[in-house]
Amino acid sequence: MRNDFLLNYKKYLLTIAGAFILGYIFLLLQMPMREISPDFNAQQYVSIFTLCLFGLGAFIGMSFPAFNSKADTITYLLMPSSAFEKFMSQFLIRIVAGTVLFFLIFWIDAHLARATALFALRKFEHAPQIASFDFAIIYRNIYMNNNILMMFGTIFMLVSTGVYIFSSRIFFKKMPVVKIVISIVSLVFITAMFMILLSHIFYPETIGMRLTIPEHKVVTNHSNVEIWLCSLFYCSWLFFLPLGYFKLKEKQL
Amino acid sequence: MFNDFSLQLESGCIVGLLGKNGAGKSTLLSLITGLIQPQSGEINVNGFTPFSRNPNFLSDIYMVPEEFSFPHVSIATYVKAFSPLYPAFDHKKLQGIFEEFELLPASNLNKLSHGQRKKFLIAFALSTNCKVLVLDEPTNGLDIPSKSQFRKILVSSVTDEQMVLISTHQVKDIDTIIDKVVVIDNGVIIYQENTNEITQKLYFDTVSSFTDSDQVLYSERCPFGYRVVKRANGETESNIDIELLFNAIIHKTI
Repeated sequence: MRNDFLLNYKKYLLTIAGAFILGYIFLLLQMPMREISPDFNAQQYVSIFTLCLFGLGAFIGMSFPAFNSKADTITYLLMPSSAFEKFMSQFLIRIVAGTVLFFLIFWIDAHLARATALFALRKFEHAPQIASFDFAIIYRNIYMNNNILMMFGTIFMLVSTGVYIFSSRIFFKKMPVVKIVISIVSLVFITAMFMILLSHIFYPETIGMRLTIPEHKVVTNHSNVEIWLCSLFYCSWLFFLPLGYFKLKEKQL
Repeated sequence: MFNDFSLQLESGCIVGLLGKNGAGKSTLLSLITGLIQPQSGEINVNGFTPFSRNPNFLSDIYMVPEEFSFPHVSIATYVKAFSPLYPAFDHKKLQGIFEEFELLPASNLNKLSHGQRKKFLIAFALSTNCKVLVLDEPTNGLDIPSKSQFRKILVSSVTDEQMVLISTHQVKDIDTIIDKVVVIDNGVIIYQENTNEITQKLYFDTVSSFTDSDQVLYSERCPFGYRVVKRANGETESNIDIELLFNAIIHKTI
């Protein structure tokens, strides 16, 4: 990691600065700037936050930058450190530090954009209201109906997606972000097709591309679909993480 | 690519790995350094299986690839970042080679010419003091004075504990420094010999003409007549003409 910071600190600082400026501009553009504009409510932060998560996904998708070229791959693979150290170093930089910085930058940008918008609106008598941002807004949105299982399900869905992006990057050499997006779309499509196929096999009355999943309560307040989705999201990162590690260990030129 | 392939190289020598394009030189170098995994068989370098890429193995082998790239940092930063990874790294030696090659630590690596970057990489490789140095086309991109500097520096800095494997097409650049010649073709070693044994067995000469009685094994036209390889008579030795030797081997006359 010391090696990585020594060589790439300028790149990381530029990325942070770029993310900060872009996030600020993006948030500011969503906020009301005229007297006739509608109010900006807390819910709108959730949509923007969700969209910004794609930016974090792209940052994670650009992990292991050495694999973009053959020359860099040689240097990286022959660097005297274990595959575990190389994997953990990228994991800590891209996923852990990336996520912490993402939250921090979003929080600062949201407050800064609100302050800028309020400053621009100060001259109007009936200026639209702009809600203040705090992470409780996000928390309230994922903690729906006091369903703690689904709340963690949503969190682990994001974790699993992040780990999938991180690990699948090792499989791709050129244009990893594009290929990761294609692979996610393909994965969702194949899963949907498989579910439709199962629907046709077990429920012959299923018509066309429809999905038949009879819902029933497995435990108090939780349906079989919820349990299935949560087990998928809770566990898939545990599969993707070692998959990435072993792919790195077995990586060839 | 390699079937029935067996090669054993000892420390304390500079080995020239020669072969035509597509002969398998780069694949062999990748196998030795652990960049690719053999489909079957066993490779042992310094007691390690290369493809396991054990950090102790990696800190004792250094490869100068034909194609390389550097981060946008100065020479000094690069050295600061990578030298701690090689326990036997010699900063004094690096400084000496920098002076020979006229490299400045403050220079940005990506603002140097290809030849200067290559010289830096060679300087860094030699300073690591790794037991195994793998140089793929090391003289490509070097100007004429740098080529002779490279030969001088390489010979003076390699110790008995080190083994240097040089893969190149520019055989003239290394013919005075190698201790052993290995020629591969289609994944097979077709020739391997120490240079002192070669000079005992073969005699390289330039003649205006020759007859069958001269027992010439291989000849090539040149401006002054012919460059020839003959059997050595045991009395006089000649300098090795590796290019001629290589062509003779490829034409299966040796």
